[in-house]
Amino acid sequence: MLIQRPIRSISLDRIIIHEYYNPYEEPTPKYLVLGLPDAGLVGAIASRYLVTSKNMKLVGEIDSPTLFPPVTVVHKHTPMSPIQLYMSDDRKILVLVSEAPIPAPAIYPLSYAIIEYAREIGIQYILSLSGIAVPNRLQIAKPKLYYLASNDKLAEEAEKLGFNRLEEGFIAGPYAVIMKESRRRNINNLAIFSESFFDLPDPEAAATALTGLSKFIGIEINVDKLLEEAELLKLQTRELMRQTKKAMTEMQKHYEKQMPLMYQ
Amino acid sequence: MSFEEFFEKIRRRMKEIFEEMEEELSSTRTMWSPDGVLEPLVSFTAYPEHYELVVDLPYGDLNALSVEVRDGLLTLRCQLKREIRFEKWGVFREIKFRRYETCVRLPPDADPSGLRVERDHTRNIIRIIIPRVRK
Repeated sequence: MLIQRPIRSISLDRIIIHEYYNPYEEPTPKYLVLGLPDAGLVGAIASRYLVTSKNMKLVGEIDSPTLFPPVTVVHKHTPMSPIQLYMSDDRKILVLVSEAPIPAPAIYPLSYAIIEYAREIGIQYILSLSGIAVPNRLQIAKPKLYYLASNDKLAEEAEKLGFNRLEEGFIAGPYAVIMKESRRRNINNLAIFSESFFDLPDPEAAATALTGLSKFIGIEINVDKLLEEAELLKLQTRELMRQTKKAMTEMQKHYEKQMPLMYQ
Repeated sequence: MSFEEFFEKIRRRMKEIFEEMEEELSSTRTMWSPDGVLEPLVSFTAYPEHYELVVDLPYGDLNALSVEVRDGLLTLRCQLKREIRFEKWGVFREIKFRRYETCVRLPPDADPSGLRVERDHTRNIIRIIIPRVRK
C-alpha cells in the first residue's frame, strides 16, 4: 500500500484533509501548487506531470462525505480519494492533484479549506495552474501566459518574469474563490493561466503553465516528455475532460467569456 | 394565450427537456467500447454565420477520415494510425482501439452543403465548419 492510516485528519467545514506526513517538520513546505481540472485540463495535466517527473511522494488526501461523490481511485492497489497531496523530496513543494472535477456545491468549502490548511501549515505561496480558454486556440502555436495575483508585491514578481497581466474579465471556479479570498486575507496567491482550449485536453498549454511555474519557483521542469506524451494524454483524459466540461457549466465557467459591466 | 402560443410553449419546453436528457446521457456514457471504437471529444460553437465543431483525434489518421451528414445527423469516422493497445485501462485489461466514431445532431439551420473540413495533422485535430442558413 502507498499509504496506510493517516497521522492526522483535519476537518475544515465539511472537508477532511488526511495527512501521511508531518507538515511542521523543518523545512516546512513553501509552495502549494494547485492542479484542479478546468479549461483544457491544464491544471490537472500540469500537476500530474510535475508529480511524476519529480517523483513526488503521496503525503495526503482530501475527502468529503457530504460534498464529493462516493468515488475511490485505486493506485498501486491502494484505495484513495481522487484529490491527493504530494510533496517534493526537498519538502519545498506541495502539489494538490485532483483526478475528478470539483462539484459546484463543493467549490466554496474546498477553496476555504485549502486556504485554511495552507495558513495552518505555513505555506508562503499558493500557486494555481489553470487554462484560460481562447476561441482561436487552433491558430495559436505557442500559448501565452497570463497571471492574476492576490497582492501588488506578487504582481511585481510575476511582471519581472514576463507574464502578461490579466486586466479585466471574469474567472470562475475554485481558483476564483481562492484568489479573492486570498486578497482579502493577504495570502500570497498567484494564478498562472495558459491560453488553452475550453473543452479539449491541452497538454501544450499545460507545458506552458509549467514553464511559468518553473520560472516562479526557480526549479527546472523539463516539459519535453509531456509534449512527447501529448497524444497519449489526450486519449486517456477524454472522459475526465467530458466530466469537467459538465462541472464547468455548473460552476458558471461561461462567465469567463463575458465582458464585465464595469470594464473601463 | 392563444392555442398556437400555448402549443409553442409546450414544444419549446419539450425540446429543452430532451436537450437536458441528451446532455445528462452524454456525460454519463462511456467513451469507448470493447470492440475497439473510441468516441472523440467534440467542441461545438455556434457563431452568427456558421457552426464550428473542433474534434480531437489523438493517434487518428486524418487521411482516413470521413464526415457525412444525413437527415441533420453528422457522422464522423476516423481510423487510428495503428492499433493502440493498453494492458491496463482503468479496471479493465488488454483493451485495443482501432477507430473513432461519433454522431452529432446538427441544429435545423445548419447548411451541410457548405460543410468544410480543415485538418491539423500536427495536433490531430480537425475543424468542421458548417454555414448557417439565413432566414
